[in-house]
Amino acid sequence: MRLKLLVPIILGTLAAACVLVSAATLRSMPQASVGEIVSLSFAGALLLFLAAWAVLHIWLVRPMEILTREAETLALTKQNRGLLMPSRHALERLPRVVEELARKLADARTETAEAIAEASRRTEEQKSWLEAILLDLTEGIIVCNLEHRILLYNQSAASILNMREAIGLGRSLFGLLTREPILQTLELLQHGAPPARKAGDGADNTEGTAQKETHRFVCATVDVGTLLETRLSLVREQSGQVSGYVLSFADIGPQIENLALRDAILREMTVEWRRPLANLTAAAETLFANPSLKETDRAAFEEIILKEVENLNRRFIDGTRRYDRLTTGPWPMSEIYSLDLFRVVQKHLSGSDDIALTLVGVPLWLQADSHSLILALEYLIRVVAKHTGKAKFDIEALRGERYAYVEVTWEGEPIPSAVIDSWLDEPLQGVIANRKARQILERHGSELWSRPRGDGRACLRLPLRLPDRPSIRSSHVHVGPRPEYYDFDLFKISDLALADRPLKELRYVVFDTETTGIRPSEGDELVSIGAVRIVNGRILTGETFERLINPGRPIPQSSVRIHGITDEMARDKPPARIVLPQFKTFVGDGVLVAYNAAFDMKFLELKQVEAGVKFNNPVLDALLLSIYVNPDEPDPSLSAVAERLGVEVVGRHTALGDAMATAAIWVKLLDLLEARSVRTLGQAHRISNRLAAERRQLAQL
Amino acid sequence: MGRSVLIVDDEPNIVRSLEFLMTKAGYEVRVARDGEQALDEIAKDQPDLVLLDAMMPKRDGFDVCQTIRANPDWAGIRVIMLTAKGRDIEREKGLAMGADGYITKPFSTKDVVVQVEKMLGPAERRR
Repeated sequence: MRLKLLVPIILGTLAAACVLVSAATLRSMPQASVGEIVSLSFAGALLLFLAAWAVLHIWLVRPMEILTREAETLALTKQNRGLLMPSRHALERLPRVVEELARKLADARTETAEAIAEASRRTEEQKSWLEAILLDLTEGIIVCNLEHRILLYNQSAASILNMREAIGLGRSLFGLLTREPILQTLELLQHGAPPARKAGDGADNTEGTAQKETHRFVCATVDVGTLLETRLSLVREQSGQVSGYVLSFADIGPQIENLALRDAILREMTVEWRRPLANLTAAAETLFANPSLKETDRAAFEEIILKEVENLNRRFIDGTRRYDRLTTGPWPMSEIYSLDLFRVVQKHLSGSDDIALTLVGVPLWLQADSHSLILALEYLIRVVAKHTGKAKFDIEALRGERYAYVEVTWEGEPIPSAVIDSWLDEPLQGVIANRKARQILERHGSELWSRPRGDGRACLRLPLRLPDRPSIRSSHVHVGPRPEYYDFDLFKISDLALADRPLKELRYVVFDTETTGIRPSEGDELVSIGAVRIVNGRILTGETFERLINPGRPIPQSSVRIHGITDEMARDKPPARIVLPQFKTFVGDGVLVAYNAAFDMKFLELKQVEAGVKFNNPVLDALLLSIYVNPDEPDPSLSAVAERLGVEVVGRHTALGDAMATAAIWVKLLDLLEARSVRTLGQAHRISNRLAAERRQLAQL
Repeated sequence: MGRSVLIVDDEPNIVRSLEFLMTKAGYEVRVARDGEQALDEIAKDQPDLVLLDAMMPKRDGFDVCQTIRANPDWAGIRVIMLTAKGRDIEREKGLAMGADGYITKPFSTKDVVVQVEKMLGPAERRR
C-alpha cells in the first residue's frame, strides 16, 4: 500500500485512538491526570501533523508527481503542448521552466527532422545525377569495396563485359576480370612511393606529397576474350582510409584490331616483298653486267624482270587499297547531321564576320570530326570571302555514290588550285595544336577543290566519306494512298501577271500536312503542318515551318500509326485557328506546292474562315506534274517518285520530312519540266488542270 | 603528220620511258619539267594532248589542269593526269579540275598508249 496513504491512515488511526482513550478516561474520572493531559496533547499534536501533511500533500507532493508525469509524457510522446498542472501549487516557476525545456525539445526535434529531409532530398538528387552520368558514359564503371565485391556498375560496364550473369551487386569482381593486374595496381597505389618532387616546384608543395591515386593498365576479361584499357582510382573516406576503388574501362579491341591490320600491311612489305625484290635485283644486275648474253638467256632474264615487277605492282596496289580502308585515327569520327553542323558555322560567321550563310538543300548524315570540320569550314569561308569580296554564301550537303559533298557556293569565279593550296597551309586558330586545314582534310581522307557551277556561280567542294551504316531510314509503313481530289478551282490564278512568270523565278513554299484521317469534310482535322521555302531554285533548309496542331478531337489509332502523333503529344498544342495565321505569315505570297495538293488544300480551306486567313496563293501539285513528266509511272506515291528521282527521304510521314522530300522532288521536276518546254506558271496550270480532269474521269470509271 | 603530245613530269626516269613510248607510238613529243614550263610550252605551240603529273614543284598538276581549262583557246587540248596521287578522292579532284583521263602510278605502259590512242586516234606509225 502506498506510503502517502499509509502515513495519514496510521496517524489518523493513532490520533483517533488517543482521542477515544482521553475521552473515555475523562468521563470515568473527573480529575484529569498527567497521563490524560499527555495523551490529549499527543492527540492534538497528531491532528496538527495530519493537517500539515495534508497541506504538504496538496501543495507540493501531488503537483510534483503531476509535473514528473507530465514531463515524462511530453518527453516520450513528443507532443508540443503545455503542462496540465493543478491551479494551485507551490512549485512556482518550475513547471514553466519544464515547459520551456519541452518546447525547445520539440523544436529541436522538428529541426532535425527537416534537416534529415533536406539532406535526403539532396542525396536523391545527386543520386539521380550520378545515375544519369553513369548511364551516359560509354566507358564501363565498376565500384568495388576492399573485398572486391561490386558495389555499383553502369550499363556500359555490363555491355562491354558481356557477361550479364556474372555481373551483379555484391558479386566478386574477379568473376569478371583477371585478378593479378588489379591486385598489383591496388598494391602499387596503396603502398607505392609518392612521386619525387621536381626541381623548382615552389608553388606545388601541397601536391608534392600527395600519393598517386589513379593508375592506368590493361587487363582482360576472365575468359580472356576482351582486352580492356582500365583506370583504377582509390576511394578514400573522410579519415583518409581507403574504403574501395573505382574502375573505368573501355574496350580497346577495335583499336587493337586496327593497329593489327596496319601492322600486317607493314609486315608484308618487309617480309613478302623480299623475294620478288631479290629476284628482280638479281636479274637486272645480271643483264647490266653482261651486255653480251646469248639471246635466249637475255630473253629469260627479261622475262623474270617483267614477271617480278608485275608481282610487286600487284602487292603494292593491294596494300595501298587495304591501307586506304583503315579509317580510324586518334580523334573520333562520328555521325553528324549536316543541318546541325552548318547551323553552327552559320552562327559563328554571322556573329564574327558578317558573312551571311544560307543553308540549302536536303540535309544528310555526314561522318566527320565535327569540331575540326566546323573550324575548317569557317576558316575556308572566311578566306574565300576575303579573296572574292563576297559576303553571301550558300552551303549544302550533297549525296554522291561514294562520298557526301559539302559545297559552298557564291556568285563569282572559282578559286585557282594554287591559291587554295596556300590557304591549306595556314595554321588555324582554335584547333587543337593549331593544326592546318590541310591536316584536317587529311584526317577526313578528303581533298578540296573549286569549280564553276554554271549560271555565274562557283563553289568550293569538300568530299566526305559517307557514314558506315546507312543513315536511319524511317520504317516502311504501308498505307493506302491518299485519295486524289481533282479540284479544278485549285489551279486558277487570280493575278494574271503571274501566269507568264518563269517557273524557275518564282518563290515556292512546299508544304505537307498530317491529319487525323482522309476525310476532310467528314470531320477529320489537321494534326501537323511542315513547310520549307524554295527561292531561286535553292531549298532554304535553314528556314522551315513545323507545327503540331491540336485537332480538337481524338486521333484514331490507325492514323497515329502513320504519323506517330498521339493525343498526348497534341494536347498542349494550339488549334488550327492559331497555327494557320502563323503558316500564312510564313507562306506570304509564295506559290504553294504540295504532293497531291488538293488533299492538303482542302484541309486548309475548311479551316481558313475560322482562322481569319485566306490562302489565295497560286497552287501547284508535284504529284500531277510528276505524272505529266513520267506518264508511265506505275507507283505515284511520294516514296516511289523520290526514289526514282534520287531524292533521299528522311522522316517519311512527318510533315516536315515529307515537305523536304517534296521540295527536293520539285527542284528536279522544274528541270524536267523545262526539258519538256514547260516554263511558265500558266503552262504548268494548264497542264495540271488537264491532268486533273483526266484523272477524275479515270477515278469515276 | 603525227599528233603532238606534251609530257609534263619532274622525274627524269619516268620522262625517259614515256618519251620513248610516245615517240615509238608515232606521236610528236615534247617535254616540260614543271608546271610553269608546261604552260609556256602550251602557249608557244598547242599540243593535242598533255600527259600531266600531279606532284611537281612550282605549279602542281591540278593547278596546270585547271589553268588549261580556264582558257577557252585551249579547249581542244586533251589532258591525261598520270600521277602517283592514287586515292579515289584525288582521282575525283583531277577529273573535277577538267582532266579527260586519270592514270595512277605505277601503270602499265600499254594502258597509257591505249588511252592516248583512244583520245587522239592512233598516229601514223614510223616506218
